[in-house]
Amino acid sequence: MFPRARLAVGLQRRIVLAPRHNSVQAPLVARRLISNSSCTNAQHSHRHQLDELSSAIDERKSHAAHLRPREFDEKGNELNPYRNGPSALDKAVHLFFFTEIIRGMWIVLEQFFRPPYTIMYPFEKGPLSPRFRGEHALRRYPSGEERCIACKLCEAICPAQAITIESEARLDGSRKTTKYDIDMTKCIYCGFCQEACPVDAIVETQNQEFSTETREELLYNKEKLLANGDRAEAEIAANLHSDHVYR
Amino acid sequence: MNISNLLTNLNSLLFNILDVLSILLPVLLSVAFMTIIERKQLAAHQRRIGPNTVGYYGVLQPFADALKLILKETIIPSQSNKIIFYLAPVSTLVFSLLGWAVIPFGQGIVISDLTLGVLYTLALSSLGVYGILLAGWSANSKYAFLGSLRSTAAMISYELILSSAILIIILLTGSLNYITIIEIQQAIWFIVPLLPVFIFYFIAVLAETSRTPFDLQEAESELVAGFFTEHSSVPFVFFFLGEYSSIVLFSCITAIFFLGGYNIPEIFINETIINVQAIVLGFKTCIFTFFFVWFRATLPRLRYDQLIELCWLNLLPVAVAFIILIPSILITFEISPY
Amino acid sequence: MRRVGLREWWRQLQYIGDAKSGTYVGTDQFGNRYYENRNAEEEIPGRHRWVDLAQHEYNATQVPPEWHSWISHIRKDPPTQDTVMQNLTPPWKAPYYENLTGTRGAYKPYNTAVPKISAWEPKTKARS
Repeated sequence: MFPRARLAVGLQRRIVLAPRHNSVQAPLVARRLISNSSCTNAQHSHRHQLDELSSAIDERKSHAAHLRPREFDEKGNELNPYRNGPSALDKAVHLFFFTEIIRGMWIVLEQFFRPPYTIMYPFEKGPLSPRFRGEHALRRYPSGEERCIACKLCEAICPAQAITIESEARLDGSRKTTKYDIDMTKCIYCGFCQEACPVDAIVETQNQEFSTETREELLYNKEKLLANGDRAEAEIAANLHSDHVYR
Repeated sequence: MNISNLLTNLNSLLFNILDVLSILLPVLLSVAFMTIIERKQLAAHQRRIGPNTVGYYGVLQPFADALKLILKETIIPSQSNKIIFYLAPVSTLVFSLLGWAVIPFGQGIVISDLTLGVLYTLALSSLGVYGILLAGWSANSKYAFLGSLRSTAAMISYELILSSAILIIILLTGSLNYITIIEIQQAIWFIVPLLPVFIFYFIAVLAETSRTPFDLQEAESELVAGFFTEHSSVPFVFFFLGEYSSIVLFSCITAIFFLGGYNIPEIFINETIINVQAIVLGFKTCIFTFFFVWFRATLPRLRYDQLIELCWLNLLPVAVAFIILIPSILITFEISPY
Repeated sequence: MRRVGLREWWRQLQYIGDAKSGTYVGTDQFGNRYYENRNAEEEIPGRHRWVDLAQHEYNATQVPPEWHSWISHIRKDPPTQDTVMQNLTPPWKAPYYENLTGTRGAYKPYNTAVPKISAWEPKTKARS
């Protein structure tokens, strides 16, 4: 599998390139560049819960200066509470030279020169799951006999009541449907019919491109559903096969 | 009055109209392409592809958009002041287009070489707010009204910064005439000595053209569409054109102030038919339009009080400091232009 | 991406809107050609499988179900190499056709059962 090996090489190279920081140290920036109005709600939510009667003025006061406790070293000298943070000069430099904004703009400019992620739809398609629930289909046994036994479980479970079934006994005594209508305009694609079916007759295929120009074309009858199944049987069966371990 | 005199008058009138049209049509075209450039560039910044179906690479998209908007129904709110409702978009467009009258596109290529050209531009940019204000008021809608109030309050903040930045350039050149400003920059582009001034000038320009991060008069998340919420169809097109034409206009003015306008190094100047100077000016304008969209792609919108705070508390002191600093330097080294 | 040649490049810009080159994977019964490029440096992952549709009036549903499950990244292998899918293909598989909505071949619903209510058909005895 040579493409796989090439892919791995490409990924590795990309990982090496990835941690490329084009900036000075990020944690130095303590203060928001433009806004210096304090966001009291976010920082003091727990206090709100404790005593809801405390006024906002009190909160502002405590927020302003005496928020952190005074710290003393062994000799009893008061320590500078800001000693671990960035220096005032650092903060001023970051504020005046727009370091945050320039870093952000540089990232945006980098993206400008990279290829877009857009999937050009009819030619490329987005990934689908093998369990994707799209257009319905009625399946047949490998012998060509239709699977549906008209137990009407799907009709019963359908939350949108989109399915209508009528059945009759055939000449050989087996019970088959004479009418299996799905109103695709009602259907919510929940997949319950697929799960309720004891013989895997009604399935939802991976086909999502069945849009129509009129509503009438979405009222599927038995023949249409069987035709869907006949056309896409290989895909349906392969998907069921890939999922059979989990069922 | 004899016939020949009349004919001469008519002739000069015709040539005047042709002059204006020869500026106006390219400007409107550039405005149309500005919209597609913005969409494509934003898409590229966000790693999308943007409109790509109408014409090659989507270049005809603005015309499709304009056609769509013109064909739409014009809805006037029944409680609105109809005259002002129509007047507002027209005034916005007219004021932003009038600004092109004093822009020199090359040596001697200018509609009117005003001695007070910069003052004229400042006056027009202040008048441009009237369109927004009138639109918001006349529509009789809460959103539009709030949008126009915001734009008025923002205007008194950023106009100050813009004027201070331009004042510094005026102090440096000693002239209010665009051509003089450009000729003086043959020595050095003003962006080199005045980089900090350029930065806060550009911030003010962003606010002036009501672009992100200062587009709070049309903040979609809060005000639907801001001052033109109630405008549809052709009035909306006028707003749209006015807004983008002011973007291009201010990019052009920025290029004139800081990148030396149509100046190019002497070796490239030749006497052929192709006017290199105008192309150079266009190229410099493109740089700034790129900046406009780049800022839009990067920065989130400021809150209303944040803009005022930024302008009054952060930028204005810096601007005043530079207004004191620059003449001091000029006087100290005796290089003052007057 | 000049590997595909100038003419092919121009054609791709007309159709796909982007220049792509990759390994040829297969052709379906309609002549649509399928390509793949799993080099993440050249193609963005997620865009590495694509189809070159044969018809000028192209349509997403012109891709038959087998290839649909390959191009939608459901199956790893293309149907030409996918033994599971080949084994599960029944002999009575019906020929595929695209979504025919808006054309004369569009599906029209009809009743498959005997109607429960039959209209009254008057029976008259012929008078002698």
